[in-house]
Amino acid sequence: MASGEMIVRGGFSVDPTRKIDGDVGDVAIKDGKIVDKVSSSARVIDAKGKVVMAGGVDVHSHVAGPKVNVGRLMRPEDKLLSGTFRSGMAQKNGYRMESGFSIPSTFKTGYDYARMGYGFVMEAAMPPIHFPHVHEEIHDTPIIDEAALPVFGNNWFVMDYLRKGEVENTAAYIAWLLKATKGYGVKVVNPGGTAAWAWGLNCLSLDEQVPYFEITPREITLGLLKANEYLGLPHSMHVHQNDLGNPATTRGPLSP
Amino acid sequence: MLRGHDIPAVVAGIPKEKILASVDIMKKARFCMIFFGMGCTHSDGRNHNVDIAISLTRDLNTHTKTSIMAMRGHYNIAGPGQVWSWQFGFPYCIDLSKGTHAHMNPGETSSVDLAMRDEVDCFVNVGTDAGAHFPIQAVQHLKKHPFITVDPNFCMASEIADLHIPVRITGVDEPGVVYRMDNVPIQFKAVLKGLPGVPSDEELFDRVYERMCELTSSQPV
Repeated sequence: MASGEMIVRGGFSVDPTRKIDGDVGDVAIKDGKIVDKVSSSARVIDAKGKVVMAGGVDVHSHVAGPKVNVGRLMRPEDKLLSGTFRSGMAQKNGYRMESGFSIPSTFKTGYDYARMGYGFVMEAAMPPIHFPHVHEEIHDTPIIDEAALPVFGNNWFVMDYLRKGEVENTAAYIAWLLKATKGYGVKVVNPGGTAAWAWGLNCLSLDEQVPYFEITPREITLGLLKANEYLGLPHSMHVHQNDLGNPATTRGPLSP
Repeated sequence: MLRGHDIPAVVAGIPKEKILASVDIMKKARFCMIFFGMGCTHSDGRNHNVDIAISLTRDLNTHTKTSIMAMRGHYNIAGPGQVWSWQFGFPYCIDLSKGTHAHMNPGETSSVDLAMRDEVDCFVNVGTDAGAHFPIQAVQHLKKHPFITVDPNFCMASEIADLHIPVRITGVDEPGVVYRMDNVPIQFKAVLKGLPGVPSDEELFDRVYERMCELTSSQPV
């Protein structure tokens, strides 16, 4: 193959930033950047009939980490027919084995996302104590870029700081944790409710007290929002509201 | 008993009073944790014993916080379980010989099962001690074929091995990630410098893999 030169021929180009919406043309690439033209020794990719666009971004997916692994373990039958399509070409070219359907192996995750045109996936919930595991799975996920959001909404330190109204301390803790776990932003899942699960209880509404912590999901959510803004983090806080797992009801979560 | 039923005066050789006393202790605990080991998994009943222990856990949770977990054996046995789960979807007993997909069938594809049926041509014992822990018959079968041990120390497996390759100790002279019994990953730094000429596991297996690629004229991945 020639020096880092590539030309993607004849596809339907889509680029909203330059208002290109389906024009058929060629895209020349040199050393990882799009250029005006490349030499005749460039590798040619025939994209006739295909869409040529920037890699897709999946902002919330569960693809790496301990709970995904628990999912894989719970469903041995998920692997039953998954490998039968592994072609001779795949085996010869050293593509890794692909396992699983609803909870794919990390290799299959990378390959499937790439096949669908994605370039980036965000693992939406990283338990801080398990962060090396999450990063090891990310390491074993080929092709796509991946990052992870640590969870804060049931964190004992966060609940204790916010019970006392200490937003700055919460922000300092978030900053430290993001650095220590190489996380990307603030994730909140079932705030307070998951802490209550440890005692077989739950917080089904925003104002139900978390057992032992003297704080409500509303206070946790608002406090973390304030800390997120205080830090000026580039991402909005990512929230999965209470009453996790039950179909939506008419009561809005942030209604008074 | 937890559900209010009565039981016979003696169950499996244990008198009813003792069972009652232990149920009482469990109910009164603030947090009850059940660890099950080979006493459950390898005696009569096998996985059904564990099934019953899980039902007990579920019933106990109506009284107090209770959880259950396997009492694993060797250092970092949880680690490969996690790695293989994310790579293949199975934690152990993995058969990769089909090439297209991984296959797991405890009872058929575990190392002990394969050894007992003498289905193995060559045995590589890595960081464990099959010489000490496998059934005698399994070891007798394995010893009919090349038997290799990869281990920093001497052990029964290394004593009977045809080839013993020492490697650096992960967590002492080699950094790495180790998974605790409850699957929490712990990052270990190297605190000592390894002996000259002794490779790490990673270096050793990389070299074996590259040589294998040479011998089979295939490209390393």
